[in-house]
Amino acid sequence: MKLSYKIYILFAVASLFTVLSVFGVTYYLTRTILVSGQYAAYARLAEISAKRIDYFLSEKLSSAKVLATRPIVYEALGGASSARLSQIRENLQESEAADQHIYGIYIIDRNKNVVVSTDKNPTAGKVPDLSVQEEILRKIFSGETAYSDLFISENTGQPAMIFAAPVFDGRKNVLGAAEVYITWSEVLNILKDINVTFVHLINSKGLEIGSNIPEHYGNILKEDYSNKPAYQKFFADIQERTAQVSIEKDLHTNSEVVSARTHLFGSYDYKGNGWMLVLEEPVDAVLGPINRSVANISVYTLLARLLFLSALLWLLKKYLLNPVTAYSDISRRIVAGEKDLRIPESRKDELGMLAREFNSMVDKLQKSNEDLEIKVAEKTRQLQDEVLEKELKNKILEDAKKSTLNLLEDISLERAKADALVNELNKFQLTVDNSYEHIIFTDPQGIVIYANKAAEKITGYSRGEMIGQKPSLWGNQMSRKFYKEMWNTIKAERRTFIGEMKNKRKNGQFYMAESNIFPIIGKDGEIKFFVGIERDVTEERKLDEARVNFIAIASHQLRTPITSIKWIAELLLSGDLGILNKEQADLVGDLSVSARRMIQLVNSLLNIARIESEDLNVNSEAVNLRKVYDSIVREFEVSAKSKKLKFTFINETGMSDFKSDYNLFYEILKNLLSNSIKYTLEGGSIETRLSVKGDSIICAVKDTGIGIPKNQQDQIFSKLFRADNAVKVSTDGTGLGMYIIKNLADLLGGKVWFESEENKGTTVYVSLPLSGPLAHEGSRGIIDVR
Amino acid sequence: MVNKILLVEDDQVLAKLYQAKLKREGFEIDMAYDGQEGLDKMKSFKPDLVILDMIMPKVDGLAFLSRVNDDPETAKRAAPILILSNLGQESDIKKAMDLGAKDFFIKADISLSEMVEKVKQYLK
Repeated sequence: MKLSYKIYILFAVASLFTVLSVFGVTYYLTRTILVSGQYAAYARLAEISAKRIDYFLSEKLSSAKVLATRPIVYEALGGASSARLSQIRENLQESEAADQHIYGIYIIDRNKNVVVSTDKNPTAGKVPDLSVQEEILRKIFSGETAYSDLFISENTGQPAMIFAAPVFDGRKNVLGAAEVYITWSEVLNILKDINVTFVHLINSKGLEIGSNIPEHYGNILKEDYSNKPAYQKFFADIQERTAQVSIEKDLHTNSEVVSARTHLFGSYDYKGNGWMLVLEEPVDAVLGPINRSVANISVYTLLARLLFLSALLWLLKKYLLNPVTAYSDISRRIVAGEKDLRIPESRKDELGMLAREFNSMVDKLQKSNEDLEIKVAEKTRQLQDEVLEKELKNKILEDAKKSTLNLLEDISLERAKADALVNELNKFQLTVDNSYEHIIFTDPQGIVIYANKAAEKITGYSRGEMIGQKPSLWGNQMSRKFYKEMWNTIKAERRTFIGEMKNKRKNGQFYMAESNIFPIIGKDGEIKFFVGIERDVTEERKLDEARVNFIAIASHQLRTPITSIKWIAELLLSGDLGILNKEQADLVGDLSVSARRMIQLVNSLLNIARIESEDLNVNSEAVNLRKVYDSIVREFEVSAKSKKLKFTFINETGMSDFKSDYNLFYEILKNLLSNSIKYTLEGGSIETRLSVKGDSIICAVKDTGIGIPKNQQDQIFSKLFRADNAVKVSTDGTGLGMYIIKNLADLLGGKVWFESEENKGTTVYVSLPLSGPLAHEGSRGIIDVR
Repeated sequence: MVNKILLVEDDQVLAKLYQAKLKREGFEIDMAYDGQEGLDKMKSFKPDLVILDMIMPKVDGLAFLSRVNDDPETAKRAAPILILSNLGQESDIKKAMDLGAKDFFIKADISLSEMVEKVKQYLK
């Protein structure tokens, strides 16, 4: 950052801080001064108003004292005639009229009788307002002046005060009292003149005795403030000689007011009545204008300061920063090549010093530079000599170069071969790109690094979307175990994994893929990448399923008409519809047998459909070997007897039960025995032997039958295959027995094999795991083929 | 009193054979060729026993069973229902038995006289 900017920012921050703090202080001080000035003004107003009232009242006390010294008063008390008294009365009436505030003059003797008064209807001799007079006369008769508090006059019903002075004889004996009654109007006028919103004059008992509001005149001596907290507070601090000002609750409305209070202390002989004067002005009326002017003053001073600071900043730039900028400009130009340029050295201050130092440094630098140039020129000459020498040597090298060129020609031939190889690689890539099968390459972490067009088509994701992602983008639909096994095969065992998996296209559609995944191992023995080749076999699987379903449905439908044939034969043979002759009975019997065989065939086909649909129930339960064997042999009792076959059952396992699926094992053993019975000629024997080998149980059925021709033994487990000799011996076979045995054994986790020699006999072995089959919940069971 | 048997079977040939055999055994027989007709006759004919096929037009065997259960009139009579069908999957058999069928036979695996035995057994 430029120095100038740094200074500006520093300056601005410092200035802003001072300006703001000065602003705050100014605001606070100005406001305090203005408020205290205003408060002082209210205090003065209260004091002056109080004084005015006190002066007025002390004046009236003086009037009473003057009256007491008048000879006519003395005369009246000295026992004047009634004619003289009426003259004196007239005289007094004149005095009364001279003072507008006096409305009654009474001269009272020591017997508390009125001797003379200005009263228009004098109640002869009786003192008015006796309750007030009591205290006044007591003081008068002891030789003191006296005055009343404000009271309501009995005669006028208006507020009034009495001022009285003792009348002395020549020997300073009190002859009586001279009293003046004054009206209250002057005091109210004084209060009205005070230029504040509310004025209250309150007597020592807390009763209102005056206000500036004429509507309140009716409250005189009626409105009681003694219970108001504000009043009580006022009286607590009123002992102060000066007026008190503070913000208080209004005596009437409880709103906030600026209140100025003072005691009325009296004047001269009038010592006051313990009254208090309260001036009240609403807070807003007092402080509102102050706040406004304080705000104005503060803003103006703030602006003035900002203006001042800007000026200061401008001066700083002109006298300090501009020269520095100029210096740096000059030094830049010197560096750029204006060698003779120098900074003016005219300044006397530190900047001037800097300029002189700088200039002398530039001088020194330029000198050493010139020295260097001389040295360089010298060195250059030396080098030129050396170059000439080198050119000679180069000519010698030229020959060597020619022979090298020949070598390079050979190299270019090699390169052509490499190009051809790249071409081959390109062809290879084209092939992979356009292969019908989905091909992807991943790095050892399983991140896709290549995908071909077929992968795009099958998964629905573009190559851009696949590369950088894991194949779980479209896979991840199989069990965790499946993928664990897959990774184990390709990563730990480094073998090719072959499996069928369910994947999900970008559009959410599922598909079945036959996958080949294998690792590519580098020369260092590390896995370089994995190659995944997949084929979408969804359609093929759908076809398989459709075929299986077709067989199932067709077989069901077939059973119904065959049932009809069977039942018709049954009805005919029962004789219910008339007795058949022997030939008819034989034929209908054949019909019945044929129908039964057809049903057997259909049931076998159904079983195959169920096995192939992989939807068979597999239970793991205790299977009683002997019980299974006995119930099968009972089923074949008739045919076995007719062929005089000998049956043996040998159990070498030492167990009565073993773990397997009852129905499936039943079907296996039944097919084994059925085959043996079918293909063993009269008088032969069939032996069933059970034994344990390792962790398997082996069930071997050995017969002395026709055997299986050697050249057809490898086809014996094929569906619908029947050996040549078998076809000759029995037409009653389906070619499904061995196929079913093999598939059921697979389902139970077992194996089937056989030993056979034509015309000697066959032994078929079925081994099943002792641990039992893996249970599987399917929707179908095996049909017992009868 | 003669026992009344309702045959609900859409295959005409099989129906005729059932009828022939059962009439000979002395039962009173009525026929219904689809599930809906069967449900109607449950009320009008008031059978003592029903032989029911599974795959039929309009109302199939399973729907027939649940409608019989839902209708208070037929549910109250509680005539035993025997299923005779060529549908032999365990799941179908279980469903039918859950819906109140008394027994389930595969037509192809049973003879007419075996069928009559079963009928007599359930009418006892």
